[in-house]
Amino acid sequence: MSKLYVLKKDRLPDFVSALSNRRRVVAPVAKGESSFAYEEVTASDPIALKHIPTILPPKKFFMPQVETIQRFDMARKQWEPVIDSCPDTVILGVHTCDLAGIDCLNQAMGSDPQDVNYAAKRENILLVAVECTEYCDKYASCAVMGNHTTDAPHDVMFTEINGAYAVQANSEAGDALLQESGLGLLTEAEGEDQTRLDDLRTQKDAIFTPELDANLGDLRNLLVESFDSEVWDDIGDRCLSCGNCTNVCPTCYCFDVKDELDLTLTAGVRNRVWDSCQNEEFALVAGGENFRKQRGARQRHRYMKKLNFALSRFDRFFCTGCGRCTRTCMADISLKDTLNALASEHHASKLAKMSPYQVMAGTIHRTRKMTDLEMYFEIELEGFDLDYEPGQFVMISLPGIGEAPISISSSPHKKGAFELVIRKAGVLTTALHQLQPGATVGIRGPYGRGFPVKELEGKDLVLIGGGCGNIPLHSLIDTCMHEREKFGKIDILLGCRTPKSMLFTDEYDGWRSRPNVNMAMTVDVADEAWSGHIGLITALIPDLQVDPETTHAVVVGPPAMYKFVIQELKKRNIPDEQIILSLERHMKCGVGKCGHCQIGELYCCQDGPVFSYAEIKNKYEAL
Amino acid sequence: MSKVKVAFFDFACCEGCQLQVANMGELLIDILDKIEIVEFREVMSEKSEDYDVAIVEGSITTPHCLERIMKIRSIAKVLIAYGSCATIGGVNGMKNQFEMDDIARSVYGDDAHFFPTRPTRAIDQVVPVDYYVHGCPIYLPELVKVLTHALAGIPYRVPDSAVCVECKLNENVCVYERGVSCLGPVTRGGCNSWCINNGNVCYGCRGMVTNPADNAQRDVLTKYDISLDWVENKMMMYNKAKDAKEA
Repeated sequence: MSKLYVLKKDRLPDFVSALSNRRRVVAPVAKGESSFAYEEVTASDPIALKHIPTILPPKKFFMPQVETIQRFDMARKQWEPVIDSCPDTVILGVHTCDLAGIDCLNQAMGSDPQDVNYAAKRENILLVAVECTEYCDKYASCAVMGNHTTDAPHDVMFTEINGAYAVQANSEAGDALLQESGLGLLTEAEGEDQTRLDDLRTQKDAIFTPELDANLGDLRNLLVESFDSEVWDDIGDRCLSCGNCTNVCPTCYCFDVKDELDLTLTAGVRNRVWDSCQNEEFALVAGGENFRKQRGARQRHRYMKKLNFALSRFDRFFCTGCGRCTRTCMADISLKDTLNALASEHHASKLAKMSPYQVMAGTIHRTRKMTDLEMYFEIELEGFDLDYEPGQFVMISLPGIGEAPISISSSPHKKGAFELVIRKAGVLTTALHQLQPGATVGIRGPYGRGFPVKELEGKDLVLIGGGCGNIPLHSLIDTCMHEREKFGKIDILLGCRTPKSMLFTDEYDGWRSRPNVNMAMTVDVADEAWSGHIGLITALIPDLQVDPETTHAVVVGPPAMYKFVIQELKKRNIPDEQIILSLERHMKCGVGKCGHCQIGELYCCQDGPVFSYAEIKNKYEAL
Repeated sequence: MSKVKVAFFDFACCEGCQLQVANMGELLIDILDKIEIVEFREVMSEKSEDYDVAIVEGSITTPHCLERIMKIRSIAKVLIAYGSCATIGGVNGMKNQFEMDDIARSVYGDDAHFFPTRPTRAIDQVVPVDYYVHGCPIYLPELVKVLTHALAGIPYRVPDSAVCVECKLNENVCVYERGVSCLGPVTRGGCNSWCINNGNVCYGCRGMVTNPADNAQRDVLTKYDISLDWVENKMMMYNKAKDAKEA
């Protein structure tokens, strides 16, 4: 392990000056409003060590955009290879993702027979890397590719700690470079510097988290199984074939070979020029057959090359997670979104082939007692998000005991785990209340038609929750609060038996503080501390300011509540279609088969549990 | 070996492409080593009806032009169309949106009958063309390349990929990032993105790629809040001639 040094930030120009005494120094400089590019720099140039990935990656130094590889002179019947080297160069400020990129190219160009043009430049280039301590921007997917840190070859590593750089050589050449150019500028690190560096690196594991829904290990298989996916057609519609994605990719190395005659008409050069599989003619053969005519097919090929074929040829992924392809794409074709779309489609198709009664394993992350009867559970399914809408429910199982429908209380914007609040009411729920974090439960779902969130956008809302109706209602309230600007005035009316049986009380202040949100609460039986309303929830309705045209009411509560609440809402002239209810029934299957939840000809588990009053007012036994 | 005889001709154009050639400087000396220019109105007064290669600028817009180009084609072994006016009709193509009588009257007033006019046509819409040098004006290095290919008897293939490819190779910051629209994504390259290299946008002067992604381009415009009408207007500048029906 090489010695750790410290370079004060204000000494960086001197370091660059010392470096440039013997070498060409290239570093990222700002271009335009938010772009960077590697250019040759001197000490006085403004170097942007902190930068988002450059327009073109460092590969342009190893493999120039246009490079002569052969000279010919037919008058003398001669062909002559041209192997251009480059001046001794230090590339300063290479991110770890780009180090990985260079490593990939080293492998590709080093494969038998070796590309000597590449090698000639590689041996003259030293890499002084800069470690990122936070994400460059939202386009990066370095963590999932394992490139937020790296063991790819480099000569020196800079890490920013507390107004200075920790500097450490990673190779003999790096050591020599520091000896030669760091004299008088680098100080030996103290013990606490090493500690700070170690801490920083530990922190990185928390900051850089896998950016994809799929695991790295599943990616290859995902691509193989998604060959015919419509995701590629969609991308093909959006793609302009401008070639940007491949030009900016640190690991793309496809090239065209073009001869150029000079005016002697007998002599000239043969050039290697960056090419792109995205070009219309890349896979065109004489005779007119084009093996990748569709744009979607070409994009698919690019993904395949980086995440599937590279594994076969080079035993590693060729995507570094630098985010350049997404960043530069005018059509906003995003690597992450595409892979996530494939994963989600793949998962959905797996689900579709599954039995509707197949139980999935979920792990309880957290539990919290909310009231005497209700307990909060945070549950995560193994390997994927539940992907639900507010108002839907799951069937929760404990093997040997049984299964029951439970409304989801969280809002879908919460990724990963979802939340249930379960009232202790029978054998199963009592058993659930005994569970500790880490326990496994069975989950089926999500089922049912949720709240019509899109229709509610732009409207004034009256959200009425009685008793444990507040649980599914919470999913909707949380959704509205998360995207507050999408909804109009919000009135929340909550009713409970006693103050101690109120749910989500720690969130009330937060809701009330949002613009144009009113809350009113009532209990059946008060305690000494209670200063609010006592009595039926219907009593809170006359006080509301409602405009019947724009107001939608959402009502969830015990069966007895609905008739009376609806009566009050009708007195305020709210149309039947604008009164939304979530009904509760006995359910055993959740998929419209077992017959228990039938209302008229409707199944509460599939056609509901959310209904508009207009839909069910004439159904027998609905309310 | 006797030098190849080359003649330059022009039709409806601004003569800017000829001027590019005349301004070539030292490169012209190397070229003159290989060719003998027998007619080139811009720089010399000699004329000739004996030439191997005709290099033609400008569009065909009148019956007289048509006669002239047919004669030139019958003499020349090789015909090179250079400049947008010649290769795709260029700005002259904008005339084709109008009825010929109307536009003639609008330009010439009561004297319109002295100036018979026909819908603008690119050279290859009236005679076969062997080589194209696109652009408005031509990109000189490309002219030299095409000339070299012509002299060597090799076809020259214009790239069928967007200007964006070369623009990114030149590491330009995309002008869309500045909220300006650019026809690069649907225009065929080969010009080394020299307009963007010098701070301008692409005007589409080289003509469209054979398979432009119309829908995708529309999405991009929406994303950057640029109206389709405005861009179609811009496209009209160079790409209208091929809409012409046969006169």
